Amino acid sequence: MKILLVLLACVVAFAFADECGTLERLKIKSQWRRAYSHGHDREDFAQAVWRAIFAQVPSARGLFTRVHGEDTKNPAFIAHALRVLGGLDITINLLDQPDALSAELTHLERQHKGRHIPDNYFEAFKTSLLHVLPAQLGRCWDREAWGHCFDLIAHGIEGH
Amino acid sequence: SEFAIRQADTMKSLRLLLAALAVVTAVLADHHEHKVEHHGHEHDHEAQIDKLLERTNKITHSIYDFESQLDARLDPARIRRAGSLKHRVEELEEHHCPQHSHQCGGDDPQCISDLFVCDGHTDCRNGEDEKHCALPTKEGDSFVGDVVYDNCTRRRPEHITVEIESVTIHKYYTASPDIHAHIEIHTDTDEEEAHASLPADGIYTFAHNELYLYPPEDDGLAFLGEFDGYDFDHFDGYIIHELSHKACAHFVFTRKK
Repeated sequence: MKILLVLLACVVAFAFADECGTLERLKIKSQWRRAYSHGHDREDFAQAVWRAIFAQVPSARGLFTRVHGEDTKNPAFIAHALRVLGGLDITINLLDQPDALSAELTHLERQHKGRHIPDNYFEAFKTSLLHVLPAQLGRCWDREAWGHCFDLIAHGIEGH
Repeated sequence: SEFAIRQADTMKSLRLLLAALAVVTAVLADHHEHKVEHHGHEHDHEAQIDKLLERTNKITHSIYDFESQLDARLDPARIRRAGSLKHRVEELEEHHCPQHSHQCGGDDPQCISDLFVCDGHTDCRNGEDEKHCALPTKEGDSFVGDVVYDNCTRRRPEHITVEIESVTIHKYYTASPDIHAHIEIHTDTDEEEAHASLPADGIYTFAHNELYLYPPEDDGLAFLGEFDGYDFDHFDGYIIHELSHKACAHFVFTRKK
């Protein structure tokens, strides 16, 4: 059954190259479930994503001093990294429910407002995710669909 | 590597000793000549000096002999062969680490996430995850594979050539470099002769020493090359169904010199 689902998610996506269209959203949901994993694997996934973000924009650590961004292995930072992925998880899972998604994005936008996060930090997050994902997923994944749908979510949080 | 450092020290002292002997020999030989020129009758001294020279040569020989014995023990090709054998045994054993994780090895076993191998941060207690990070598939490299079995490719070739066109190592995430390759297939049947050059993108994963190329055609057949982690001149290449991960063809690849 699992293989069948993955199979469906892979085949379905070839058809459309829309800007995070309905089928792309379903595909992202399914691929995210595999990548997000659970337990230790999830912690490691979060760790890899954040290391790659800070490697691109070291100055971004400054925003995370409260959660010990200077050391990504610090328990406080691990908790934070998991919290962020938790937020991403909610938005990805709501990709096929536009009303709920837009409410969640408004909520996240309010949380990020006033923190003066430059757009290139969101870009760094995207680049990082798009490189750790293939390593995490191994085989079947669609870079284009991820690019489209991540942009949709990030722009929602940025408020533009 | 501690052993290697000690070894290097031994080598250094041996070389110094050799150099010293060479100087002694040269001085003695020089002295010898002078003696012959000026006092042709000093046979006693000559005999003694000859003896000394002979003895120096013998010592030099023993030192060289000892050095070559050391070299034979440290021969990289031999260490590689032993590693390949170890890898084959490990493949037969039950895996000690959960899926998607890497065994740090050594006397102190530890499992770390695949995502951390060669990412520039030391995660293994013994530092092993950052020690073997030389990419075996460099730009311009070419590997020729001979068929073992083939139940799925369209062309059923005897040989496949994988040519590495470009390699991109991302500074912010070095654990899985992007690879762009060409899969060259030449077929020659009674009816026709054909050549195909399929461009394919993929990634290299240090955690498993694997080269994965996404399906170059729309038949869903991907390419997976597995190095054993020691011998980087050969690898097992599998054609696998992208969705089921089932291998349906196997080729054994050798680096083209």
